[in-house]
Amino acid sequence: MGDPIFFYLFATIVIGGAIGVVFLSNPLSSALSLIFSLAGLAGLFVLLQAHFLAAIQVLVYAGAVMVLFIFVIMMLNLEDCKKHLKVSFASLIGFVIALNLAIVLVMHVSAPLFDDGVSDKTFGTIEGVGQLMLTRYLIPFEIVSLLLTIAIVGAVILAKKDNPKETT
Amino acid sequence: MTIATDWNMLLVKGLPFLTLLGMGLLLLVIEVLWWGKDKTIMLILSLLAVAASFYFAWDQWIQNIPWSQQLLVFDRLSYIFDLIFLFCLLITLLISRDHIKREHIERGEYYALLLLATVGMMMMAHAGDLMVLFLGIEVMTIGAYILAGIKKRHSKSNEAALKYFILGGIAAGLMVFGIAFFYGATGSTQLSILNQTFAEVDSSQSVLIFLAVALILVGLCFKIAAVPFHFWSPDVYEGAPTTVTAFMATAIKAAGFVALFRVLFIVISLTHIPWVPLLSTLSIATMTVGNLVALRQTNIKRMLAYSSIAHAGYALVGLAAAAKDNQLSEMALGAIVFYMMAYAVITLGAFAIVVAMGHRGDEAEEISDFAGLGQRHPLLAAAMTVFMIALTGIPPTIGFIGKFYLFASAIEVGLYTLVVIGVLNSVVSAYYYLGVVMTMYFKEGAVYRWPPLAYLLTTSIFLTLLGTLYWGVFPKDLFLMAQESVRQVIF
Amino acid sequence: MDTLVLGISLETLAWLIPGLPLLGALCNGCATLMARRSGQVAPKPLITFLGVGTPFLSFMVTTFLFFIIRSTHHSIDTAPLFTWMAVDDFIVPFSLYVDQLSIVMTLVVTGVGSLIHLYSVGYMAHDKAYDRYFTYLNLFLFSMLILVLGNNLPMMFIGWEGVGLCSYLLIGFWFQDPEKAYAGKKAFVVNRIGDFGFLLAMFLLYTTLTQQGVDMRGGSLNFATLEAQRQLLAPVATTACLLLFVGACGKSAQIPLYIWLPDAMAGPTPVSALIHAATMVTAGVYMIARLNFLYLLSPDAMSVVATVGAVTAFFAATIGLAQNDIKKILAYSTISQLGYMFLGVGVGAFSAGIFHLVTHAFFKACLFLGAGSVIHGLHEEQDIWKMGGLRHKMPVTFLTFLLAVAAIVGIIPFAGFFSKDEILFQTFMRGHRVLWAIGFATAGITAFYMCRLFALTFLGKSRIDPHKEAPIHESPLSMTLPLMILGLLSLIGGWIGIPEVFKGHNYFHHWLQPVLGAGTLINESAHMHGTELILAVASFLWVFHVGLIALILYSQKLDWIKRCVKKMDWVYNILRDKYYVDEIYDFILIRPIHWLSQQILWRFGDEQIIDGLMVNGSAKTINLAGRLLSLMQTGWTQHYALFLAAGALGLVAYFVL
Repeated sequence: MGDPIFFYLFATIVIGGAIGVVFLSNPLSSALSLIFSLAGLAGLFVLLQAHFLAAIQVLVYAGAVMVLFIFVIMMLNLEDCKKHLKVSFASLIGFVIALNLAIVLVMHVSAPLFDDGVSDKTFGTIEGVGQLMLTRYLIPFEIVSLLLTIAIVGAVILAKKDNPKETT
Repeated sequence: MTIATDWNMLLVKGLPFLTLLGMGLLLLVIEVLWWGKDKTIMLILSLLAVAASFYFAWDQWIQNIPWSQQLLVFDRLSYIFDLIFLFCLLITLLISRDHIKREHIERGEYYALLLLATVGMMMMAHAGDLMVLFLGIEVMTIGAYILAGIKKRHSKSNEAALKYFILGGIAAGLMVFGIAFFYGATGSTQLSILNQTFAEVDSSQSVLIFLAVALILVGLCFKIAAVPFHFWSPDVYEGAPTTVTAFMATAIKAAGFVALFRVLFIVISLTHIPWVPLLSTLSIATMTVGNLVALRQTNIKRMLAYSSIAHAGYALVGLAAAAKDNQLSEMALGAIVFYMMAYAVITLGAFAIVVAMGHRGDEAEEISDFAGLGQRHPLLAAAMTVFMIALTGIPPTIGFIGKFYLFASAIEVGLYTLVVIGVLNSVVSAYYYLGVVMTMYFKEGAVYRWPPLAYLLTTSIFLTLLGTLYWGVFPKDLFLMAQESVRQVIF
Repeated sequence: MDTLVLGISLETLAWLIPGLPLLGALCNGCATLMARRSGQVAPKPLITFLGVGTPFLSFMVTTFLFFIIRSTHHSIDTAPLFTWMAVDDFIVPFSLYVDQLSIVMTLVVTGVGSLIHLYSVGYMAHDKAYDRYFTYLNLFLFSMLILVLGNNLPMMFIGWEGVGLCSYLLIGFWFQDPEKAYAGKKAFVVNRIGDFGFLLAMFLLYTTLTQQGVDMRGGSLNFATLEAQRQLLAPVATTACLLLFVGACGKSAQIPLYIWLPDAMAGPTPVSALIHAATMVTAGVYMIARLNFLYLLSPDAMSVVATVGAVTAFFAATIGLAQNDIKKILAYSTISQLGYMFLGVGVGAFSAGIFHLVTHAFFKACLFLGAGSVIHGLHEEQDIWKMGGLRHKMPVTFLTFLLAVAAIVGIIPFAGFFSKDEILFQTFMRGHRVLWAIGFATAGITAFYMCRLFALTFLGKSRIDPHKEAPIHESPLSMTLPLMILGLLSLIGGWIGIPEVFKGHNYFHHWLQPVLGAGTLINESAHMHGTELILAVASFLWVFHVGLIALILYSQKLDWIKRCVKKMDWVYNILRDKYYVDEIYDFILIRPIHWLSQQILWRFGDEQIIDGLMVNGSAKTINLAGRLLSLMQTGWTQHYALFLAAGALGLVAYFVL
């Protein structure tokens, strides 16, 4: 692990971004805030020696997925939800619960983690990840591809406009 | 690290889900290429695949040669659940055809998604690694999301899909969180390794592990719709097309339980956790809430949704009994497996009849639509009566036997209060189940022409009815199968 | 006993005794039911054949077995036909025990029973429910025989209950009349109270024996077992005997449970003769005789029995003085004579009690049947003040009735003399002088009211309602034949028990000695003969004169009577209204119980608590719970997520803490 200061820096970005997603009223601002959060996450990955993941994080998640999000938001022309944002009883309870959950988790995760020194030089590189994925974790890899197929099929089904001739 | 994988073995052992996988993908292709309007070919191909898969799974179960590949396991427990899933799939396919035609959702993807979702379930059953388990859950669930929302024009279907998706996502997120903690604490996600590790767990790492278990449990309880994670269930069951609901209520519930089994097998040795109070509380809450709210329902699909919540509660009684003394008692586990089978048979039958009710033109979803069925269509009413009686748990149906074994296993280990509550709940449930029967026979309904039921629909009703009654009187073979399946579970 | 006679074992013959009437009852019952379905009556010849034939055959078998026992001096203990009940240690085999005592009872039951069945043919000839009548009557005979022949206490109880049931059915035979139906119900309920005592006694005996570790696999509460183990029962003997006596009071109409018997006269007269004179009411006496070994362990219980018997005898006799219904007089007479029997067994003279039971069967049956003949001849008239002068119109009835009256009064050499005398003698000799005095006085009262009855019915001028005058004739042979036989028996029936003082051999007592061994008579040594003779002569003179006075008064001097009654009308009214016992019972017992049931148990307990609170209340609670819970399902995804999070928190907390 590198300097603790970087950890706290990136962690703050992640959490700050997440809070921003929830509390900013403009949906576009929320999306951008999410991108920030994800960038911070990428930074954390770098700190953990998972360079490949960091790159993929930025490329795929922040780059492709969030861009899609922003496309949709802009297309739908969503308006500010400031008017609709009110502090209801339920949300207060929700806040309390979430806070509790966070505290419990944080308190107990302060125990030392599994700390194995990184032995393999290929750890975190494309080579390392690729090797694992295609040998040891081949089966999950294939399942994921199945998962993606299903997701695509579903997206197409649900989003595509029905050709009146196709469905009976 | 590379692992020498015996690919031949894997191929042979994995035939049940491989056939379904292959056919599912094939169907996707055919859907694109098919020139005609008639999608019956899809159904036929699906049924073929189911038949083949059933054969393979059955064969493997009989042979009883357990094998593990580190990420996947192939023991009798997996195969019997494969068989359960296949049965659910079969009945669902049979009742689907005319239903989806009427609902204008007949597309190849429907069949494909059903098959592929089943593949996901089988992954869960054969999971030897938490990652595989999670991925199997996701494959199954995403397939379910899509199927729930496949009635695009209906807002209820959209609502169902969206709610399922959002809440399911939260649950899945928490679950992955838990799996990550597991990895963090032990360095592996493989179940066999975890099993050994937990035997020698020490206190410095144990908190993390406990947290992990808690979060994973959250995810799994969501899947089986245990209280208080059940809120999605009524809305989703109501909004989804009835055949999809049937599938979800039976197959997904069973899949959830097999996942619970796999996880519990390894964490049960954590003696610091008092399992029985936890599972008992979950069970009581689930049963009670399910039954009490079901009393108020007027929509039969919602009622069946709450009923399925309650039945998950009953199965949890068995789980609580199984967890006593930090060992997993075979009798209790066998009872749960048996209950999954029983519950599947009965519920599929009930849903088949609901589908049949919609046969006459408009979707019959209210219980009041059943009024007067006793006169209009006595056979259908009689079948429904049997299913309702079976759900209540009255002999000579399989529903009674299932509950009997569950409660018996609980009494064996001394969980008397739990059993009493379970029985009281069964009594309460009689109200709404028999309410349907009463409506059918004692209320006057509208008179209209009744078109002949589709063959496949009739066949499925007949099959489930037969199963309910036959195994209600001669349950021994089926129960032995269930017991054998939990005997030598491997990791 | 494996002796075979004509290829039939003795055991089978024993089973035939109750079996034949049962067969008759079943066949008649089926025939009745089948006929009723088509709204008809079963064919009379069939019913008559079965109804009279089976008891008669049973009597033949009984006689036969009697001779066997007489020659072999062995009793017949049959193997169980089946085990009626087997629960843990409590085993009740269904087997018969034919010994000297039970064969005597059986002879009486089947013999007198057959005669009464025959009589019924004529008496009930015009009744629409002729078939139902014989069904019940046969069923009664079966039950009575089970009672008498059973070899264990539970079996006796089965018979006990069975005769109670048949009594109810037959008393209320003409149930269309609510009064008659009520009489049947009253009989059943009062009997039940007695049965309660019987049951408690059985429980007590059973638990006492099991606590002492007695092996009862051969049959719980077998008489043989009880007798063999009687020493173990000594500590509970008094309680058990008293409880059993409660049962006897109910069945045999002693104070305080006698109230049903007068009302039971609502049934057909042959029923009154059979059930309420000759057989059922004597069950209590039989029971005590059967359990003589138990009673001998408790002198206190026996005193109670004797005292109650004597007092009842007196009490009932006084009521009989003022009754005007011919059957009611005979009913009170029965109660009174039963009192004598209990007095006999109560002082330890068991065989004397049984002896009186037998002779009473003869003359009381004769009296009742004679009364029936009169009622039949006068077309349902039962008020003796509306009779008179029947001597010439119904000569056979008159003659047989006279014989029976002589017997009951106690005129030598009629049957009643010897039996009643024996009881009084034994009472005196065993030191119960007061009881003897009561018995002696009662004998006089008995003589008075019986002769009163006789005079008013048959002698003097006719007071018959003119409308009924013309077609009065003697009853048919089916009715008079039994009368004649019974009348004869009333004359000679007592000769089997003539004591030595009168140069007899007292066959009866010697016959019963093997069974009632310890309780038979005080040795009749010569010096007691003097006392016996004096007592006998005294009582004879006493009853003879009282009877004669009554006869003369009531046949010739009726206005005298009427003036006396008017002067002492308050005494007369009390007697006539039976000391208001029924009214007292109603006030003390029946009204409070009725009030309790209706106001408290029904209104409050049933309606409010069970219906309202428990049944409806639980339903409402569950409904409410369901409503509350369903409020949580809001439809808002956010809320669902909230609950999810809350659940997650809960689980995490549980695991971590």
